Amino acid sequence: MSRCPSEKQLDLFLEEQLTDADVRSVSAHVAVCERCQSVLERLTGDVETDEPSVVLSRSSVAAGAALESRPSVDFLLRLRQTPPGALARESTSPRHTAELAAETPQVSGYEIIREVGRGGMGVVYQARHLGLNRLVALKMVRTGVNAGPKELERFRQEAEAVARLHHPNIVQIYDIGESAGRPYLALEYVPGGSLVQHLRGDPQPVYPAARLVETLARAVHVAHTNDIVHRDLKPANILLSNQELRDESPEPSSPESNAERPEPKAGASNLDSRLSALGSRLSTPKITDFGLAKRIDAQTSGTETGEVVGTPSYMAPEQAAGRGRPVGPAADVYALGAILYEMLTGRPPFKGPTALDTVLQVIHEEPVRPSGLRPKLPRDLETICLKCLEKEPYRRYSSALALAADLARFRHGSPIHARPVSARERVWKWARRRPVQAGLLACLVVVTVLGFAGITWQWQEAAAARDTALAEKREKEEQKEQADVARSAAELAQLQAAEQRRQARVALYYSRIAQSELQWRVNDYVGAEHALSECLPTAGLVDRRGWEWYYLRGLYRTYLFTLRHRTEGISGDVSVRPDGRWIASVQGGHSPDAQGKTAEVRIWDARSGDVVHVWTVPATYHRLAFSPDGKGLALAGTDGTIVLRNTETREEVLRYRPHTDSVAGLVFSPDGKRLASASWDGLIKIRAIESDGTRTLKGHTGRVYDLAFHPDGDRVASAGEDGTVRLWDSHKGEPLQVYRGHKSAVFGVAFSPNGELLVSAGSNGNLKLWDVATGRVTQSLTGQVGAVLNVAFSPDGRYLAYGGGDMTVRVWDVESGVERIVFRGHTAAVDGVHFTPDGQRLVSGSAGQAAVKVWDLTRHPEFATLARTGADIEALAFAEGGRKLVSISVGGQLQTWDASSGVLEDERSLPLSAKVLAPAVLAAFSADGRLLVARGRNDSRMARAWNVADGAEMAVLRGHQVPINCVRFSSDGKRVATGGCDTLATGQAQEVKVWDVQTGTELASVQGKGPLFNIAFSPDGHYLALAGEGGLLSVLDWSAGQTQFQVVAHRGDVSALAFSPSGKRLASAGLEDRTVKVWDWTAKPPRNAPALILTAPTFVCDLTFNPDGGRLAGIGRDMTKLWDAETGQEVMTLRGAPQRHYDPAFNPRLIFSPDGKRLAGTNWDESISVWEGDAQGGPPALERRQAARRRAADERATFWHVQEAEHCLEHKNLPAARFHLQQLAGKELSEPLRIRRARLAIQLEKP
Amino acid sequence: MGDVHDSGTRVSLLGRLQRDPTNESTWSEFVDHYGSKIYGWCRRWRLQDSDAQDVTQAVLLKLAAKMRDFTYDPSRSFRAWLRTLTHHAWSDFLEMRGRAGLGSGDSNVGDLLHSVEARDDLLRELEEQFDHELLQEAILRVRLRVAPQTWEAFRLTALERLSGAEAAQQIPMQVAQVFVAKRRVQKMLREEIARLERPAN
Repeated sequence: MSRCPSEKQLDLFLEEQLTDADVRSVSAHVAVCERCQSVLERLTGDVETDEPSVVLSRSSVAAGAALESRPSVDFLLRLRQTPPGALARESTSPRHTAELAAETPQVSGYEIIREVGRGGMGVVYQARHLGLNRLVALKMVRTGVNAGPKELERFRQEAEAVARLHHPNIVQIYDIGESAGRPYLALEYVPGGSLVQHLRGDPQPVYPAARLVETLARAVHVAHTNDIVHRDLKPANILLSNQELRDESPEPSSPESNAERPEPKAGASNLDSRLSALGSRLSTPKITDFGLAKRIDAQTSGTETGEVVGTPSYMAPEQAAGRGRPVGPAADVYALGAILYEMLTGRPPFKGPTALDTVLQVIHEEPVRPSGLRPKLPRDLETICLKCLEKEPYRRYSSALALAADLARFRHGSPIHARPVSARERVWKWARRRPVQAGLLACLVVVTVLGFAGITWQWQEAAAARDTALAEKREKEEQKEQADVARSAAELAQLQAAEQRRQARVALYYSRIAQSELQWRVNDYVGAEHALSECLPTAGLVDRRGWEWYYLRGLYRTYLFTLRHRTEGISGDVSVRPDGRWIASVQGGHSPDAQGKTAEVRIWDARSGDVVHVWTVPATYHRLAFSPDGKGLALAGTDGTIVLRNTETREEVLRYRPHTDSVAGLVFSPDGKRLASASWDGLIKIRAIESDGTRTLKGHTGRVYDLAFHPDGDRVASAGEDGTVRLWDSHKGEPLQVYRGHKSAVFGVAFSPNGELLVSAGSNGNLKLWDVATGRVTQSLTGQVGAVLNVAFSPDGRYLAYGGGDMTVRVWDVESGVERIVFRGHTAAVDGVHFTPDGQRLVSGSAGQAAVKVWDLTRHPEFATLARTGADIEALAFAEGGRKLVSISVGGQLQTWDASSGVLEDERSLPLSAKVLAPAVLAAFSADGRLLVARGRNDSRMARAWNVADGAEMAVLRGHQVPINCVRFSSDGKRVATGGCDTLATGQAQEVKVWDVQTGTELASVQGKGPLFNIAFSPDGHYLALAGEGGLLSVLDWSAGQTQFQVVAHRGDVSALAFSPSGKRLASAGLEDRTVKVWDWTAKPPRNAPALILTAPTFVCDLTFNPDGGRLAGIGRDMTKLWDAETGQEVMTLRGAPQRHYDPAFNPRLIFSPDGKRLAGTNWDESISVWEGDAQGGPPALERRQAARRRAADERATFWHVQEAEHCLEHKNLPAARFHLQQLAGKELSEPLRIRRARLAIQLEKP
Repeated sequence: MGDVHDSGTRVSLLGRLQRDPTNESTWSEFVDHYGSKIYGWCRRWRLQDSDAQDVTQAVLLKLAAKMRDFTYDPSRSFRAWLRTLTHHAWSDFLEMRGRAGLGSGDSNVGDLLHSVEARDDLLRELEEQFDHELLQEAILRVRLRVAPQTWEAFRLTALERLSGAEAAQQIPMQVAQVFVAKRRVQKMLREEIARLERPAN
C-alpha cells in the first residue's frame, strides 16, 4: 500500500475489524510510514473516555512540585493506631509539638535564611554567602553533640579532601569553617530536593533510571580515584537540581521524537496521562555527604536523636555486619545497585520493619529479583543490578566505572558484561547463608547499634571473636554440603548405566510415536499405522504405551463407517439418496476392451451400514447419480453408455449411448426430468428422460470432465480439459459465459445451494469460487497436494468438501476461506465426495482402495468440541466417572456436558449474587465434579461450597483476613484449601486456610509473607504446595504449619502447580521462563534441583498428571503439551481450536478424566476440547467403540443443528440458519433445546 | 488456577470498612490510602502541618462514622455513595469545628475550608484515590489475561511513553501490531474498570 490509509481505516485496524488482506497491507504500510505511526499514536493516545475512573490525578502530578503535601510517616502510623471504633472521642488533637528551631546560630560571613533539615547530629540551613552573594547549604554539627578535638580534626581533613573534588554530579564543598566551636560546611545549594521525594515509592521508567545510576556511578568513580569512598550512598544523599530530565528510550532513537511527546495534561480525563503519572520525573543528580556519613548525618527525612542513625537498606553486607573488613569502593558499588533496585522496583532491596530486621536481611538474604516485582523488566538491567548487590565484594563490579560502562551498554542495546546468576546458584547461595543460631542474632543487635552509633574497641574485639566463630561454623556447613553433593553424585553414577538402557527404550518408543504422527500428517495412513504397531510390546519388555498411543489409534479411525467393495476399480463415484437413506457407490472405470471383468454397484443403508443391494455391472461403469425423487439411479461408463434403473423395482428404465468416449460427469436436473452427461468426447448432452429429446452443448476443446445443474435448472456449468469453466442455457443449449482462470484442466464443478456461487476444482489442486452473477473469482484456495477429483457444497452452503490425489477429504469454510477439517484414512485417491442431505455426514469413495468411508462433520476428527460456552471458563471437571464434564464460567454459569457426545445437558447460574462490587468468579471443582467451591463475589475474603447436582449451598468458608485468590479441593473432596494475599498492604500478608467442606469448619490457618499465586493439595491431603513470589515454590504440612520443602523454582512467577498421583512429585510451570519443572520434593536428603526440566510453551497456565502418573500435560494459550512424566520426553502437541488471530481473555484449563482416557482443555474461542485416548482392545473392542461413536454422533446431531443455526444466525447467514432449523423438524428435543429452537424460529421469521 | 491477582481488595476497601468498621487492618489500609490524600488536600488549602494533621484525622473519622449511617445502595454506583458520604462527613466536620472553636487561631484557614470549592476539591481527591485503586486493580487483572508481548507493547507505549516504533524495536513486534496491542489493552482496562466500578446486579 503506497497511499496512506484513512484515519477511519486505521481505527478499524486498531479495532481488529479489517480483513486479513487489509491487515497485512496496513501493517506493511505503517512499518515504513511515520505519518501513519503518528496518527496511530494519536488514536491510541489521549482518548477521552466516559469512564470517570480514569481521570488523571492532579495531586499526583503536582506532588513533584509540592513535596510537603505528603504527611509524615509518623503521623500516618499514629493515625493507623487510632482505633476507628473509638469515634466518640472526636478530635483528640494529636498535634505534634515539634522541636523548635530556636537555636539559629550566627556564622560570620553568612546570612542564615532558614532551617531546611535536621538529623541526628547535624542541622542544615539555607544561607547566603554575604561576600559572593550566593546561596549555600550550611551544614553544622548540632549543639549538644560532643565531638572531641581529634574527631573534629579528622572531620576537617576529610572535608578538605572532598572539597578538592570538582564534578558536576558531586555537591561542591565551598567552605569549611568553625563558628563558636561548632564546625560547619558550606555546600552548593541544590534546590530540587533529594531522590527520596522524587521516588515516592514508585518504580521509575527503565531507561532514565539506568541513565541516572550510570551518571552517579561515573561521579562515584571519580571520587574513588581520589581515594574518597562515600560509604553512605542512598537516595537521601542524591540531590536533584530542578532541571527536568526527559523520559528517554534507548540511545539509537533520536531524542527529538521524545521531545514531541505530549506531557500529560493536568486534569485531563484520559487513561494515558493517568498511567504515565505512575512514573515520575527525575532531574540532574548530585551526590552529597561524601565521606562524612559516619560523623554527621543531616539527611532530610526524619531521624530522631538517639535513634539508630541511617538506614541499612542501602548498606553493603560487609558494612552492615561490621565484620572488620575494610569498607571500600565495593560498598559504594553495592549502594549504587541498591539505588538502582529501588528506582526499578519502587522499594529498596531489603527493608524490614526495624533496622535490625533490615540488617539481617542484608546479610543473609538474597534480594527478590527486580523482575519479580516488576515483570518484564529487561533481563540485562536486572543482571546488572543484582551483580552490584552480590554479597561478596569481589563478585560485584570491580569499579564504579565498570558498572557505569555496563549500564551504558545496556542503554545502547549492546551485550552487557555481567552474567546472570542461575537459579541453582542462587539457591545454593541462599542455603549457604541461612541464619545460624540465636546467638548470632544477639551479636547482630550489638553490631547494629554500635556499628551505627560509633566505634569502640570493645565492639571490635567482640566482633572479631564472633567472626571467628562464624567462619568456623560456615566452613563446617560447607564441608557437609559438599559431602552431600559428592554422595549423591556417586549414587547417580551407579544408577546411570541401568538408566541409560531404560532411556534408550523409552526414546525408541517416543520416536515411533512421533514418526507415526508425522506419517499421519503427510497422509501416509499405512505408514502411520505401521509405526504405531511397532510400539506394541514384545515379549519380556515393558509395555510403554500410554495415552498418546490409544489417542493416535483412535485418531486413525475417526470415520463412522468403512463400507467395502469386493474389488478395486480404476475410478468410481458415490451418491447419497436425496432422502438420506441410502449410500450408493460404483467402482469400475475399466476401459471398454477389458474383457470379462465386472464391477459392482453397491447400495448400503446409510444408518446401519448394511448392504441393501449389489448389482454386478460391466467393469466400464464408474459414474452414478440418484434422481431427485430417489427412485432412479443413473449409471455411466467409459464406453459412453448411460443406464437408468428404478431402485425399487430394480428394472432398467432407460439405456442409451450419447457419447463416443468415457462419460466423466453425470447429473439429473433439479426437477428430475432431464439427465445431463459430460464426456471425454468433448460434448455435453442433456436428455429429456420421458420425451427422448436431446440437446448437445458444444464448446469445450478437449475432454469435458464434470458438469452441474444450477438450482434453477435453467443453467448448467461444465468443466474441461481446456481449463475453462462454462455456463450454458440448459434448455436452448447455448453458451452463456466462459470462466477462465484455471491454469490446467478442471476436474470438478459444483453450484452452491443458493446458486450464487460456483466452485471449480483444478487438476493442480487449486479451487476457485466464482460469483455466478458477475463471473468473477471471489476466492482461490489451494490446500491439497495433487489433483482435486471431486468437489461438493454442503447443503447449508457453508462448506466445500473435496477429495483427490493426496488421499484426503478436506473441508473448507467458504466464508473465511480457511481449511477447517482434513479427514484422513483413505489409502488411495479419493474420487467421489458427497454430503448427506442433513449436512451431518460426508461420504467419500476411493476406487483404488475399494472402500467408501462415512465421516462425521459434527465432530472434529482430533477432538470433540464442547462449543460455545459463552464465557471464559474458570474451572473444569469430569463427573460421573468421566462420562460428564462440568464447567463453570467466570460469570458463574455452570454447564454440564456429555463428555463423549459433547451435548450440553444442563446449564444454570450459580446463586453467586453480587451486592457490592463483583470480581469475576474464582472457583474449583472437586475431583469427582460433584462439589464446587467459589470465592464470594461480594466479599473476596469468603468462599462458598455448593453441591453441583442440585445447586444446594453446603458451607460458607469465612475467616480470611485477606482476599482469597486461590481455591482447591483435596482429592477426596472433603477439604478445601483457600489461599490469599494482600500484596499492597504493607505487611504483604499471606494466608492459607484448610476447611472441612461439610461443616465449613476451619481446620488450619497458616500465615506467611509475600504474594501467593497458586495452591495445590497433595493427593493424600496432608500437604499443600504454594507458589509464591519470584518463583518461590514451597510445600507446607498444613496441619503442623511447617514448610517441608522450599525452592526458587522459576525465573518469574509460578503459573501452575500439580502433584503427581503418588504425591511424591510436584510439577510447576513458570509463567515466563518457558519451562515446566518436576520436583522430587520428598527426596532425602532434600534436593533443590528439579528432577526434570521440560521445555514448555510460554504461559503454561494449568498442569495435570494423568491418573497413573505416567504423563504430564500442560496447557498454554495456544497449545497443550504432553510429556512423559518420568523422563521429561515431549510426547505430543495438541491444539483444540483454530489458530487464534487475536488475544482474547481466557483461562487455559486442563484435566484428565478419572479413567485416564480423556483429556479436556479450554480454548481461546470459549470452547472446550476433549481428546480421547480410548481406542483400546482388539478388533471387536474397536468395532464397539466405532458403534459408540456413531451413537454419540446421533445424540449430538440435534444439538449440533441448533448450534449451527445459532451460529449462522449470528453471522447473518439466514439461509443456512433456516436449513439447520429445518433439520430439527419432527425431532425429539430436550427442554433447553426446544426453547432454543423456538427462539431461533422467531428470529428467523423476522424480516 | 485462578486469576492470580484477582483480589478485588482495594476496590472494595470502602465497602469492607463499611461492613466492618472496627477491623484494624482495613482501617490501616484506609488511613494509608485516603489519609495521604486528605492531608495533601489540606496542605494545598494552605493549612500548616499541624492543622493539616488535625483536619485529616477528623475527616477520616467522620468518613468512617458516616459509613455506618449511610448504607450503600447497590443499585447506585459506588462513586455516588462516596460522594454522599463525603458531603455529610463534610458538614459534620464543619459543624464540629465551629463548636469546638478549632482552628480559631487562624480564621483565614477556617474561611478557606468553608468554601464550596474546598469541599468539591476534597471530593475530587477522594474520587481520584478511588479511581487510582480501580486502575491499579484493573491493571493487575488485565496483565495476566493477555499474552506477554501484548502487555509489553502496552506497557512500553502507555506507561513508559515510548513511541510505537521504539516499542516495536524492543519487543520485537511489527509497529502496527504495537498499536493494536495497546488499543486492545486499553479497551480491556476500560472494560475491567467499568466492571469494577459498577455494582453487578
